[in-house]
Amino acid sequence: MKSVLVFFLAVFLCFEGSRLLRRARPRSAGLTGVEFLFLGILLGPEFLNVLDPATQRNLAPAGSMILGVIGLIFGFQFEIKTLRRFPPSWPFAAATGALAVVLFTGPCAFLALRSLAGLDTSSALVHAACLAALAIPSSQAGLVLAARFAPERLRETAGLLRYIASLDGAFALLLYMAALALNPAPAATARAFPEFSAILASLFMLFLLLLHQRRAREDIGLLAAGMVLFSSGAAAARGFSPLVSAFLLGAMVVNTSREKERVYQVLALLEKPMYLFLLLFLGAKWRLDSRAIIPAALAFWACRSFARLSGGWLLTRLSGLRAQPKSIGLGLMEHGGIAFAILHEYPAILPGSPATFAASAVLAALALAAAASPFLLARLFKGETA
Amino acid sequence: MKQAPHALRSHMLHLLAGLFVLASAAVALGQRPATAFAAGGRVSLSLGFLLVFAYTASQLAAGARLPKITGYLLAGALAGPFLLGFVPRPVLLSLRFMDDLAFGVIALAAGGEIHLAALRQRRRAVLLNMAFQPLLVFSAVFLAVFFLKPFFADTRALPPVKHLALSVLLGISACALSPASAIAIVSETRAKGPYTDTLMSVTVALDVVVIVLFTAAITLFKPFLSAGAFQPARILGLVFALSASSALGLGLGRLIALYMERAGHNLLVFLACFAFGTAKCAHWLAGFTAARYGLTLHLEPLLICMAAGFYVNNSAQGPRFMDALSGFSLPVYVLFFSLAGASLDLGALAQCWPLALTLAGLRVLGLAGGAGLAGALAGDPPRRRRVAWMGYVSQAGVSIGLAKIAERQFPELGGVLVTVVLAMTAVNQLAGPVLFKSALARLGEAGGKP
Repeated sequence: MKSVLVFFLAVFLCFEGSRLLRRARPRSAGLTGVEFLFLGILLGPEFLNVLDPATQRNLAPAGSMILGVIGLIFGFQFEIKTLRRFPPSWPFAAATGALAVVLFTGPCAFLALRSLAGLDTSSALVHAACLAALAIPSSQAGLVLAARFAPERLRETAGLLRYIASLDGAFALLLYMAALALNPAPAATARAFPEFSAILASLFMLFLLLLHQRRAREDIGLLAAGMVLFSSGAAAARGFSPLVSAFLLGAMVVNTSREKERVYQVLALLEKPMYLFLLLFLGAKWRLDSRAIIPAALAFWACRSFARLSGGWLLTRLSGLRAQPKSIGLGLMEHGGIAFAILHEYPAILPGSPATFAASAVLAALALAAAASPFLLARLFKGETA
Repeated sequence: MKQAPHALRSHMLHLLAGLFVLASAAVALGQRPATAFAAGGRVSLSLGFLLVFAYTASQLAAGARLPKITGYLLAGALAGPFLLGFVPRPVLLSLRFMDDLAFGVIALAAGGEIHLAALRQRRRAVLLNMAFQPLLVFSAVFLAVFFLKPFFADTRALPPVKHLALSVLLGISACALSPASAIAIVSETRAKGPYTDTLMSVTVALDVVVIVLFTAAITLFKPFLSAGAFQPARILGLVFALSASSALGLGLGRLIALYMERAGHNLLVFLACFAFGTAKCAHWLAGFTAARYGLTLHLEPLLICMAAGFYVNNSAQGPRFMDALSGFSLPVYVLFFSLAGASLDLGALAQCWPLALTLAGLRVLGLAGGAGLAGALAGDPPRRRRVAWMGYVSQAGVSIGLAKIAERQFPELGGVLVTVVLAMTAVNQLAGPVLFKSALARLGEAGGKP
């Protein structure tokens, strides 16, 4: 009973929070929703114990549904027709930035996990790849607001940053998928891969079949909810990532269905509350009992910031982007929602103390980046000259 | 004529989709979850499967001019533990909370369907139906169980007092109706008219009467069937709890109206939280008063939500309130009825179908007699009198709930009672919506597109 009451309390808080944020955001750029992390800590076992570990376990189905919704919404951003409208140099810019982050954070994380945490090579490789995937995504939310106040000459920079931020999530998910594939899995999971691919393909066909006819908005909402639960549940039940499977489903549907706009309109209503829900859950799971978390978080933040800045500088060397400010990386400092989603899923798929510790440290780094981001964006858009 | 190929294509498409979803579920559910994360995934998977499959089945049912809830029920029954087993019993139990939520929302909508002006206008018909229907249904079922004792294996071996108690309890539980099915059909067909108004009021009020009668019967039989003593205070306690539930519901309805007037944000989420919170708080209060003071104050969440819905809909906020609820109705109905279908005890039906079918048939005769007589005395036109009974056949939660209470009170009797009630409910729940929709169509009260 407690789990369900807490679930409804969380739902109400998230919908109200989403409404309040929508109202407050134009006036206060500092409000990003990350405040819900701290609300999660308050409701979690560390303080009020409303979201206690048993309740969190009971709400696991809600967790995989949230991941599914976030993955599906994210997949809907990858319409090839829309992505092709942008200058050809932009995908290279996004790939360069992501590569810089992976090349710098991945080896650092691997060395730290091998030498400080004492993990064996294969485990350290899997966790390092997951940490690198967590470092890639950047947020669009702050950029949207900053772009409104950007001077005319930096409008294109704001557009490029938003493009990079939306593509970053896909790079992160691909690396995360590869990391999970590297995991020395039990034989059953390896056997399950072709079966799961068949399920995903048949769900895609099913979604297309059901969206072939024009349907009422309520019907589309129901079908989208059903497909999210079905695909994310099927993935979780087989030890795969609900986030990645829903992302793939979304990306396939947006490129093939005529009803994509109407599906997206329904999903978009849930985007912010689901994100806040995720932050609430992450906050409740956040473990701050180890002293090593703070230095680990600072190290992760420093590594990622350096990688983002140097990646930003590197992309301004690409042809067609030489006019962009050299400090463009400052605009990519805040982590995107996909990072939070991976953070929620990663310790559940790879249970054990390294993942729990790493997730808590990365969460602290994400909160730090969210707090610093408005100032860095202001510096980029108000203080920089091209 | 031009629509025929389109309709055929639509049926084929939904049939294909149904097969796809079944095949996907068959593969997806084939492996036992290894971790807590995987077990949580299994629940999501079953829920998602049920949503998509029940929706597809409802589209096929609508194509065959059957009510959509028949599609939800059949899909649930097919996916449930008795047939394909895609939604196994533990998953069904973990989704129980959805019942509380859906039941609360349906009760809010059912209360909202009772319009004060229409109620005043149809008061005579409502009261006559409430008098004759239970009288004739109870008599038919009671007499059948009592006098046909030697013909059925389930009743043959019972001693006389137990047999009398079984006859009375089965007779009373046969009088229970299904406000949830009624509201779902009214909402699907957008029905409006004197028949719909009467039926909604009778369906809601009769369930309250049945609860009182059933508790009175249990209290009466307790000294004869078990070691307990006759406790007339139990009946008074129940009447108090029901009155308190109605009063509390009206008060909470005032608060909902106030919230809508002053704030009104995220109304859907607010109403869902209200519906669910009411059910849970009522259960908690019953446990708390029993543990702390040794007496059970069991407020009836269904009645609280109905009274709240009734208040809000008859206030200035009525149209907005009903709009918000209708935006929520599709997922609620799909979940509630598909879970109800999955819970239908087909095993019980297989076990005692001769008795269940006999009683279901006699119940229909009682309903037809009661509704026809009430209609004649209320001055309803003959056409309405002939089909009036068809809307009252559905039966669900209340009768099963009452049988389970009796099972706890009289374990030596409960087995037979619950099995027969479950089997009878399975028959009535599958046939009821089809009959009600047909009655609305015949009387011309089905307003919207089916």
